[in-house]
Amino acid sequence: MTNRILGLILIITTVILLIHFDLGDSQKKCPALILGLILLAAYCFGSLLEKTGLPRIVGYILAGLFMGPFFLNLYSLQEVYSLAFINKLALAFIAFCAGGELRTSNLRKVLKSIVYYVSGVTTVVFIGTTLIVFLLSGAMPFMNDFSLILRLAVSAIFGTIAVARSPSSAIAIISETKAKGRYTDIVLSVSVAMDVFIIMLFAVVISLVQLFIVGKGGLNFVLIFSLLFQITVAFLLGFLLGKLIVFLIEKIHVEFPVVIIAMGFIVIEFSHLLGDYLHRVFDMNLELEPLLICMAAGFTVQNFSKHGDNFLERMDRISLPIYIAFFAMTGASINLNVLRTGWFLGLAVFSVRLVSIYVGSFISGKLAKNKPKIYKNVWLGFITQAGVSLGLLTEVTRRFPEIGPSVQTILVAAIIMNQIIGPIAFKYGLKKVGETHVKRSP
Amino acid sequence: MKLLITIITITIIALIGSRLTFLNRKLPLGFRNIIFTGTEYIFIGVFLGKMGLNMIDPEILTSLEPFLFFGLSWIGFLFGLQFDFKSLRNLPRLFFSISAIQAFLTFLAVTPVIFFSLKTFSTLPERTVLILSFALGSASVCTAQSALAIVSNNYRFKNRKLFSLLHYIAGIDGIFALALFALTFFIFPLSGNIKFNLMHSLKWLLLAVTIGIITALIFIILSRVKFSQQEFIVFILGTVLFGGGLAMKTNNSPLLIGFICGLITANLCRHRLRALEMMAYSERSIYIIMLVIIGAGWKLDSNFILIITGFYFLSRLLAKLAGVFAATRSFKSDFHVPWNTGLGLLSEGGFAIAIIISFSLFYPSLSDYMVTVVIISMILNEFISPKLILSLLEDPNPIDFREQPDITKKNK
Repeated sequence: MTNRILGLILIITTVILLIHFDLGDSQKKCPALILGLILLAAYCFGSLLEKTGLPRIVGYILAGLFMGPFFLNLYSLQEVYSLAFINKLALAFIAFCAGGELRTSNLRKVLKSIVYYVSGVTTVVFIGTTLIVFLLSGAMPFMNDFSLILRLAVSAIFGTIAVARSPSSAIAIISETKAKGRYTDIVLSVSVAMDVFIIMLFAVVISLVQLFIVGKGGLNFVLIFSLLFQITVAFLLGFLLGKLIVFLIEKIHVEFPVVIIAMGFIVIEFSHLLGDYLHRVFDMNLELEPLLICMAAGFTVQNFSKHGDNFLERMDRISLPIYIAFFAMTGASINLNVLRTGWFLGLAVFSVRLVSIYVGSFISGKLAKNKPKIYKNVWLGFITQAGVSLGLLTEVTRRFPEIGPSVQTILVAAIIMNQIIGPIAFKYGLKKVGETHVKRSP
Repeated sequence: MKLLITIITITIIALIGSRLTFLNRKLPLGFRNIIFTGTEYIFIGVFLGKMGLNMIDPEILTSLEPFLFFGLSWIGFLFGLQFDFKSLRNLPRLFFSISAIQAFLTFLAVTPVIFFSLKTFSTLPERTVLILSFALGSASVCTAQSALAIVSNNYRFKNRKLFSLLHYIAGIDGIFALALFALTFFIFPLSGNIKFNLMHSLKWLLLAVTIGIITALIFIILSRVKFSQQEFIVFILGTVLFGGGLAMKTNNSPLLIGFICGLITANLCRHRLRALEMMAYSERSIYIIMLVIIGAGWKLDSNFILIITGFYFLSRLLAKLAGVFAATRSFKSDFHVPWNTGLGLLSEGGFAIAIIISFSLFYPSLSDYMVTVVIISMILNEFISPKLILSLLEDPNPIDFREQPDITKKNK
């Protein structure tokens, strides 16, 4: 413990002195320095926090936040944004791992539960959040002049975003706690399935909201069909990528974690570029979901080759620096000004979501005939929220510039709370059901 | 899109390269020196760079700059880790003395030759000429082990002690090259056209040493308690990035800071070998990417630099020859050291590349000259080195790999 504190002090003091005495070029952007600082300091902070029983990733998030512009100001938000490619690499890596963790043998055992949880939790969270936000809409200044139907439409956006989960946080906690078991499989599978499901739900809701806000459109079947098409293509591409990875493992014996991360990065860049191209040339909003491709690739390696466990084991070896960088940067990019402005309504959305998740998962678990130990605790694994929700929010802002920023302020505040509370709750849940530190079968 | 294609290309090259490089392939000796010793990646870089397809253009090279700081910091750290004083003390002092003398004599011989040839054949300002002479002088000191490795992997020979001496020098003379390279930065401040100012230079040196010590301390402190392999990767990556980043921020050499950090770690951390093993594993990929980048940034647009290259090559050859001759005649050895032993030290890869990349980061306007001279000289040296080493060794016979027992069968 002393060593970690000493290390942390030394790292942070060095950078403070560097800035204070103007020893470096203050104009020069140094991504390597920020990344090194984040890796070492967040690691120390995470390890220290672990001693208190909290998950390390909360420590990483808090360290990123603490060193950022709102406290120590060791780096600016712009500098953090300049490291976006690291986030992309990390996301790709996490998606590969999430896919790899899904074993068909285990999925078959929990398939019924997954179906119940996905449908049950989605329904309750969507309806619950939509309803409560609708009831609270009078307290939201930007909705004061809206008609009731318009208020309901905007509330549905809140409901949709509340459904989103964070497979990345789930996989990081599973990796940290070496968790294994039915509870773990359900939480991970549901989180991944929700990632697919939320895209569809979002498309339906957005096209309906557009009808009320902009006054044109209707249920946009073209949009829904194109999303279905995207998901299918993403799965197919993921399968092919998975087969390529198997080929690399078998024939070239490459240092594949590094290559796989690079592949993930390429997939993400390629998807974005393709999306831009289609939008520019054909005015089509078709962007392949890159994380789905990576997840499908990981799933293929796990279930359509004999290298699944080897793949996961070797990915696991390099996972720690990736998780640290990803979550610390998530913390570093938290805008506390937004939290200050929207904390009250954010807290309301956060609370409603929490209750809805509890109710939804309790009912679903009972219907799926899960053991009480599972259905009473599974909600703890569904709280985490991060990237997907923020991505959807960006899309909301882009489509509805008149309400987007206000919706964003409230929801970002709620997402920040979920980001911090979610991992703590999931780790607690895993401990409660006794699935932490299970030795994995070779 | 261009960046994406570049990343794909470099990834594929690193992927294939990390499997093929330095392997013992059955190729004619001269060809083998170029292919599979690493030199080929410079050509690949040239092909992709501004002299070829222009896929890796100056803009992309700029965006890859942080990677160069990281890579150099890694190489410096790894190099420093090899110098643990306990082990070094067990090696013969004679070897160290010969290494030091030949290194300094090489520097003292090459630097003035480059200075006067540049003064004669170029119109560069005097300060530039001095900087280039010092930098090239320090790069000339480096000896790579690639040619020695090719010879030892493919030939049997008698005088192992002489071979050990060559191997030792090739392993250690980078330390003198680095010290002399640091001297270049010390004498010629990095920011703009500032004249030599002792206080400014001392501040620069003090900062480099302090950062090196701090990063080493961080590594040592973090690795004092029990840790997993995953955590060890975080310590190494974090330390290298932190050191490289601080170097970038303070206009310092990441190679030098990394080396200081590695040197202290090697002597105060009990996990030296573990770190060495882990870092050496990835060194190849980093090295390949750096070679590609250096090749990509290379542009040959001044004819006079070819003349300078000729002078550099010849003066280095003669200096190595004379340096080792003088050193071995000053210290008596218990084995026969031929007068022309210096010819076994011409191979010039690895650390010289790190030095020119480090130089290019701070003197981008001079990097083409430096790269041209060192790369051409390196290629020439890679071609002739194995033959020259063989000429020094007694009774060298190619190993017939067919004679070797099949170990896998035996194990079965």
